[in-house]
Amino acid sequence: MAIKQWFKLDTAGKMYSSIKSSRATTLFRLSADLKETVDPDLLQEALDHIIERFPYFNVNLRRGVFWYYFEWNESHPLIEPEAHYPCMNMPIKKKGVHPFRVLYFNKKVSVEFSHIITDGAGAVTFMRALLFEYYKLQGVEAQDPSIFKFGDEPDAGETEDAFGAHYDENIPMYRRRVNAFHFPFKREKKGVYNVVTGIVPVADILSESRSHKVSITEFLSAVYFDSIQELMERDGFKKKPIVLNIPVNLRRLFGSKTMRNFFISVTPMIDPRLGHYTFEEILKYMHHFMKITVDEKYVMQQIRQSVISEKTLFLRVVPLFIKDMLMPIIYRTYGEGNYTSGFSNVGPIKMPPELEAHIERFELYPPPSTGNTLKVTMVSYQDKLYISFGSLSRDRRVEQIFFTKLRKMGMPVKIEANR
Amino acid sequence: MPYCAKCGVEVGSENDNCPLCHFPIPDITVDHAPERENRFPDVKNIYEQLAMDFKRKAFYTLTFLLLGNALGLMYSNYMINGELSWSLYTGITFFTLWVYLIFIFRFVQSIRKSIIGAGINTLVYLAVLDGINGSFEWVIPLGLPAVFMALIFLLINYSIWIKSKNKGLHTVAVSLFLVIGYCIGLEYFINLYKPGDHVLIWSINVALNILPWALLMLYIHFQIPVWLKEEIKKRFHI
Repeated sequence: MAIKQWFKLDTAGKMYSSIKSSRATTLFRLSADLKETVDPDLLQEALDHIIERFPYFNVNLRRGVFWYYFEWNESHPLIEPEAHYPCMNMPIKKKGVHPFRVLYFNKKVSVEFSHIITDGAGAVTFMRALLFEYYKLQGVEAQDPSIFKFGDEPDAGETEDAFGAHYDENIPMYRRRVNAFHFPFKREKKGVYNVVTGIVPVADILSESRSHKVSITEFLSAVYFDSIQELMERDGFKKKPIVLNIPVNLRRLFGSKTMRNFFISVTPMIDPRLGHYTFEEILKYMHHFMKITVDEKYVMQQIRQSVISEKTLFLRVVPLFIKDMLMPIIYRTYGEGNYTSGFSNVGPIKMPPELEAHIERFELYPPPSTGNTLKVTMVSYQDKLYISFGSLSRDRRVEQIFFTKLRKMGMPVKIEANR
Repeated sequence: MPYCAKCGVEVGSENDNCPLCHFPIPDITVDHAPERENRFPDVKNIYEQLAMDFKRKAFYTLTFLLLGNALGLMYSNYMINGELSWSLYTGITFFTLWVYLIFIFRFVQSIRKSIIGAGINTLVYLAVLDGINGSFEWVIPLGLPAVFMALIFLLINYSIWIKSKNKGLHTVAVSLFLVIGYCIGLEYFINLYKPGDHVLIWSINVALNILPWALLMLYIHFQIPVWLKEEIKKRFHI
């Protein structure tokens, strides 16, 4: 595939590039714990190889007059030892800086991607390829056609701006403004990010979800809703609608191969001002909500809504520095202001059996956010589900309620925290 | 495996307290248990170092600018007048500004000490300005009380701000009351210094303008008492 010298940002990337700040870094982390200590030389070599398979990540974010764009990066991505809190700021707007970084510490390999370039699904594909190459260099041979390999030609569809490709201007807009509940937690000082991960057996979660005839995402998001409702009622916070932002990967729905952002956010809501919701009621609501919203027609409407702003001539001609000033305010008001927290499930990560013997686990950390102090991400690997809460606050009341609820349902939960 | 007795969750053996509720975890370590490797490094906060570096660079730049300007003006003064006269005023002003920078850039960590330091700096500056001609005229009757009052009010304000758990409009209202107090005190000392009627005029004007705002803020913060609400409801309900 011929490598373009530059390309436009996708719809989500345009928004993230303008709201990025030293605190809301837009970086999320996917990490893999190996069974042996990481060999940095080998990891660097693996990165050198697979970056050629992902040329669209070997880029540098640059400023245009009206929009940012990605330019081919002359410098080479280098692995770094992990030294800071997860997802901390990196100067990705500076010349030569990549929109991602690969970190290592003891037995752990982490990739931190800015949402400006890709989403969780893109990060999972990259991580799988990196680990595959790392073990190949160690002499571990494995077969898995779904993993991107060094030497393969990138598919043209991988750089597609899928939002633009599936945008239909004739679809009517859908609008909903909600003054959502926000956690009134005191923030930590700048540069600190707290992560709490709960490890739960997949079989237990699956059997509990199945007993309610719902999916894992529906079940756990209902537990999360219930936990926030309990916090609100128990600690006497002013009742406001609780809204979750649940990203939905659109690749399968539209058959897209893109490695850039391609998701929409669905925003289920319960309103405690109407009265207390039982767990069964929340489950029922979540199940039907997801059935209604994860549907091509609804999704097309969401895509239209996401893309419309960048299509408007007035917005296109506004200089970038003004967009940079206004976007954080607009995002706070119409984006994060509309929901309480993020809840993202990237699903299971599968590795070939030969590599599974060498990889202990995967974890996914959400990007820090000033508008939504607390966010949740989860990923499953082998027989465990890793549920990570990323927070700019030290307050762990929500995490405690959430995991205690799972314990009360009879599930074993192991808790780990970065501090 | 260690468990939290309160949350019921399993925790890593490296934890002394539960990561969720901070409840102490009983030590059940077995001597021959394999030592668990840390999953996270002893992190450094990147922002503290970055902020310090930026602060230091900005301070050196401003020091260079102030020093350069002061020396330039002294040189001009000497070349034109053959002696250092007016440039002494600019020189001492630049020096005072430079001392303020030490407090503004927080090279003194304690805010209380910074307020006191800035107050002493101001007082010394006023004393030098007044006494540069060989005698002190206004610094004792005017400068000293003005600076001393500002110092006391700022320290009180800072203490209230730090001690109040819920910082809100009521803390702003207290600051406004202190401003009113300062203005009245300042006009009182000015009146003592100058001959004529010792009537408070402009400070009362300031008080009359600020007081309603301060009271409104207190009212908004503490809201109407329940009995008053009931009274209003009783008399004005529709």
